[in-house]
Amino acid sequence: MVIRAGLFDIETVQAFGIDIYKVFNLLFICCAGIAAVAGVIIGAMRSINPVMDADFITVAVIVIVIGGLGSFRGAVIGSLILGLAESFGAQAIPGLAKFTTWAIMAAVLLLRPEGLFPEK
Amino acid sequence: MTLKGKIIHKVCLRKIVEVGILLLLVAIPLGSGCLFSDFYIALFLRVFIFGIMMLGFDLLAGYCGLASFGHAMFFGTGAYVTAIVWKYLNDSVWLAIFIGLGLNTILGYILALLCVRTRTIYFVFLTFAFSQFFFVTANSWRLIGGTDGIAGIPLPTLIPGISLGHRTSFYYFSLGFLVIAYWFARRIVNSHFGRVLRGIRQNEERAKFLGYNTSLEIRKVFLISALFASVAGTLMVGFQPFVPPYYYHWSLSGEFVIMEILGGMGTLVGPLLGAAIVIFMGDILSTWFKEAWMLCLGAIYVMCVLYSPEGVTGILNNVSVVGILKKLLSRFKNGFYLG
Repeated sequence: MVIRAGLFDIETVQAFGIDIYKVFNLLFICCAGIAAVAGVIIGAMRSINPVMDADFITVAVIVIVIGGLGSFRGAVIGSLILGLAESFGAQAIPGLAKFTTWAIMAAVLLLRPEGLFPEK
Repeated sequence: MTLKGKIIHKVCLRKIVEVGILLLLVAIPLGSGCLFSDFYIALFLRVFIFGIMMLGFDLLAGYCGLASFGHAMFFGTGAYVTAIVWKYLNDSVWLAIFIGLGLNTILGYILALLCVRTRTIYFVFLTFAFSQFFFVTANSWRLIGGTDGIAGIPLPTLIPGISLGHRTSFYYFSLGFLVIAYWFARRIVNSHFGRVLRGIRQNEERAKFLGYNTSLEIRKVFLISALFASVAGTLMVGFQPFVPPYYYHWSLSGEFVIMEILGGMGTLVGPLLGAAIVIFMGDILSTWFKEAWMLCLGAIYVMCVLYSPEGVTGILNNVSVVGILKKLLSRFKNGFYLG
């Protein structure tokens, strides 16, 4: 709640006596921790290389956009949609597998900018 | 001094500085060979080409407040069209520029129609997605080279018989385009249209309320910046006769954003400086730190964002040391969060 309030109006939250910068710092630390867990799992699953960042940041962006910013349910379902689209797309139209994921992202942004499963 | 006098004084000063820098740039090739190596001419050429690109980018991102993360698509389209024209059709530089401009007009018009429906972070994502379409196409379509890109492009000619292949002649050609682009961008910024754009950046609701069709204005500026990028793409092929699919990649768009922020948004001169800093820094740092130069550039970038959000031009505008120290102190007091 504090985080969302901080995003909405940072000065009001500070007026309540909350150190919002500390909260954001904690949030960032938690994010890094969760990403590290995902990194451990992926490292056990497939090969790793120093330019992995480019692959994963784009995938993360697509998932978040499909699901809707600030929606956990959206993130989970979005990643499912993305994974299925990528593998089935590769089977249906080989060579354009990447194309399908970007097409989904563009379509979602154009038709429903708030994402498929926005937070209520 | 009255306010009007002050403004006139400032404009005069700027004109003097502009002409001085132009003369300096014109004089630079004279010293190559004896004062410094030919390599620096190539570096300057790169700065000019990215400078033209950044002028267009600044109109969209700096003045209109819509940072595009897919501007490489116009740059890449310009470059690919040029490569194909020179290789298979005719090696005239004008033909390539005009075909590139024509194609980018169509492309920019269609994409502007789509992208204008979104704002802020969604605009970034949407332009990003579209530019990735082009990257995937260029990367997998064998007809235009696929992953290998297009190589073996002949050098361009100005008019039949006069070649632009020589480094120095191409230097002056690009410098001419940079001056025209700068003049054009300055005219846009000072015009009524430029003021409307700044109004949209500050408060779009209010601009709408005043009766401006903000979507139309944004589409216009999107198209204009696409045309700047197209010219830059054409010149890039003349400078480096090889087109890799990297010209469509989002990391190139990211480089544009870095140049923009390092230089200072919405100043026209800032992005030019940003381009020069990134390119020269890349050269200097890589001799000192070898492969680790990206790390240093990243550190400089982060420092710039934290301590001088207006970029290098922001620093140049208020060079008073006391002011900077005060700013630093207050930044430390408020913590490092970027609100």
